[in-house]
Amino acid sequence: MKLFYKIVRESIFVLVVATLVSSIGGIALKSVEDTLVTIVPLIIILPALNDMIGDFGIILVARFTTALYTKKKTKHLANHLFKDALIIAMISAVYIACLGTFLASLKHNFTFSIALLMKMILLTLVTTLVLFLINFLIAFFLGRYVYKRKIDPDNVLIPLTTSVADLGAMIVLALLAMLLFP
Amino acid sequence: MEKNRKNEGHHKYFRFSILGKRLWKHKDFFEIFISEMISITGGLIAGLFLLNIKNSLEFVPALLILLPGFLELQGNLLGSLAARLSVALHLRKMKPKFNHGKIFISNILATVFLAFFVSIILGIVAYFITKFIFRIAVINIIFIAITATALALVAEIPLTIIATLWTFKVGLDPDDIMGPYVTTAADIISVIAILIAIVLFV
Repeated sequence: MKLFYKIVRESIFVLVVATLVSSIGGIALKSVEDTLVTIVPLIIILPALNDMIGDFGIILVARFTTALYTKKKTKHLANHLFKDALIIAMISAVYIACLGTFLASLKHNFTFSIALLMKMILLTLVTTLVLFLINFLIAFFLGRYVYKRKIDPDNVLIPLTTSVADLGAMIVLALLAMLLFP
Repeated sequence: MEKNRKNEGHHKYFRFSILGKRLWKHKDFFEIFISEMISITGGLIAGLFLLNIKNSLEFVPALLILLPGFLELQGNLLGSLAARLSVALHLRKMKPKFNHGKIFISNILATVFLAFFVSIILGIVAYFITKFIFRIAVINIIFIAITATALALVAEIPLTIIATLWTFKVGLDPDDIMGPYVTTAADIISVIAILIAIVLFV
């Protein structure tokens, strides 16, 4: 039962905060979302983009945590993982923009143009890049700090990075949408 | 000798040799890339169908508060569960098969406890916000949160454990695969669980 108490003790606060931030922050950001959804492909792209950035948060935290527990060199892993994951994140961002715009053109009536597709790609690329960097810093630096304090980074940092992805994507995307779709 | 020892352990289960050494050299890249592409494609297509359901659910003020937090919670819990099991597997603290060991039991119990505890808090917060802001008292929202949690966990926990053990068994790294897998699966299962809970309580 020692492990049970450790998991519960370490996770409970951050889970409650992440869940409530997501719910209550969701209402505050609903107005932003309502502006965003006037740009048709964003209705489809936004949840997928949130999920994708959250996925990278989980992957980075899980990889660094395993490396810390198995006493592998985290700096070497950071170097190699940063390159690999960033390339995949960028490809995924372009893929989301293309597939999202294509699916939106099938389901909703809107005029498709290359200019719109380019703007969508730019939006997803910049949003992904900004949030990937934030999540990478959280996973690497905060991961080591939390581990040194004998707390399991998997319990604390996974909820944190997914919250950053949820709220951050909405904020960055809203700012960029205002710039690109005045 | 050293090389042989490295290939033992969790890599001894590795059976994929499609591109031989090249694939092995870029194993992390391929694992993350393929799981992410499947997750995005599945997520976008499922998202198209779920979007209509989610939009109709969000017309109910209490569900507008409950739904985003509920989806976030499930993803976080299962992501953490998979990551903890992965560490235990890498450290050889457990074998990649079902057992009644304390690591397994503690992880499952902690996930179940946390899911119910946070869902009840979320339900209570949703109830009070709708009562004081929207002037509607929907006590059923707490029961919807609890029932949806129970329904979602019944499907999600076995799926997460089976997938984590299987990926490790075949020589893949669960850390690379499970993040995209659990968030997509949790989103789909959670929305269905909430729909069933609504049918039961409304």
